[in-house]
Amino acid sequence: MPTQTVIIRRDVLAPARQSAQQFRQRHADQGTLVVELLSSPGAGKTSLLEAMARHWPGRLRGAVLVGDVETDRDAQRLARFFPTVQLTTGGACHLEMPLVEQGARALEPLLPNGEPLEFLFIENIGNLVCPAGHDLGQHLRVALLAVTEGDDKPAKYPKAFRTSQALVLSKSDLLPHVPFSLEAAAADARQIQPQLSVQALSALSGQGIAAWCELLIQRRREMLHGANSHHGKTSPTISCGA
Amino acid sequence: MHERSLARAIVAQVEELGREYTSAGRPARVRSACIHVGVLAGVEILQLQLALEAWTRTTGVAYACQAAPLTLRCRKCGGVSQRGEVCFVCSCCGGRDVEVLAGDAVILESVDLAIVDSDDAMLAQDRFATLSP
Repeated sequence: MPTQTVIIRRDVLAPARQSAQQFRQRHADQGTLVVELLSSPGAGKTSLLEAMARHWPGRLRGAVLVGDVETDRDAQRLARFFPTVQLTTGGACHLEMPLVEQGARALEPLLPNGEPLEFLFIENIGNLVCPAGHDLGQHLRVALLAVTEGDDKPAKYPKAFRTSQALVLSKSDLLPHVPFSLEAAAADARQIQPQLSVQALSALSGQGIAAWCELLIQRRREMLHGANSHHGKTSPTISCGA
Repeated sequence: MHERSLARAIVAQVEELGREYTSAGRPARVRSACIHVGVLAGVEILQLQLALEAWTRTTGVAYACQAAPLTLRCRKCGGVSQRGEVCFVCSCCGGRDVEVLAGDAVILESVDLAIVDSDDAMLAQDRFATLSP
């Protein structure tokens, strides 16, 4: 039997991308900036969220969807500060849209007065490889790199840093004890993504947290005013200040 | 790990195509499918190939995965360049402020359909126009 070749040329993840785009639009329309946190395990994603909540007590209308392979340990930590839903993948190495949508629905009854959120944080599974390939409907993807991980990591995980708009260099209180250059890490990441905003901070000491929170407020303001928060916002310096 | 879930998505989409195209009034049989894996897709091509081959035993569809280059457009000089490896440098001017045009996704490039006669081939051709992006 003869065969005919038919050109399809279709992105296999197009349905997921479409669902992510709808999620992004829906949250933008209600004024919620969706922020995804991406890093290797133990870089301090949960600690950063806790530090932000301590810095913004009672002022931050935020909620968290937290992803892990197993356990609800992170949700237990974060529920002290935010309406939180734990997403457990049972082995999968990254979050995908169906689970995020399910989490967002589970979050609704936990929100006080049904008021729309200012920020929805999605803490992805600790992994710098697979999560980078999946759009979760975020407005801002933040890559965290702990100073204990080494300043040569960005080029080794290019997709994670290429698809991020901000880089957090975490655990900066350990800088006196480890051979890590903030400048080298930032330069390495900007070789891949020249438009990255870079913030060094410590969730433990609180250094840099205020500046980081200001950056999030600014990004939300840009979203509310229709500015494109993903492009053309070059930060020429690394910010380490309070 | 995610190559397996990606393989499942590809298999489902190929099955769907088999239903969309008809041959002699019946769903067309897809014999093979060609998958382009962008170098920036974050997908291990050999693992994806193996995951798809596991499906070949039950579906009868042969899968061929091949690497697709990274296509970049320079925001400075406007040049378009192709890279076979992950590298965000414009080949024309060496600039680093580049936009990724292609090579960051997994693309179902084409399928080979078993066709009974030429009328059906025309039908398939007509459908192609509505399916292509």
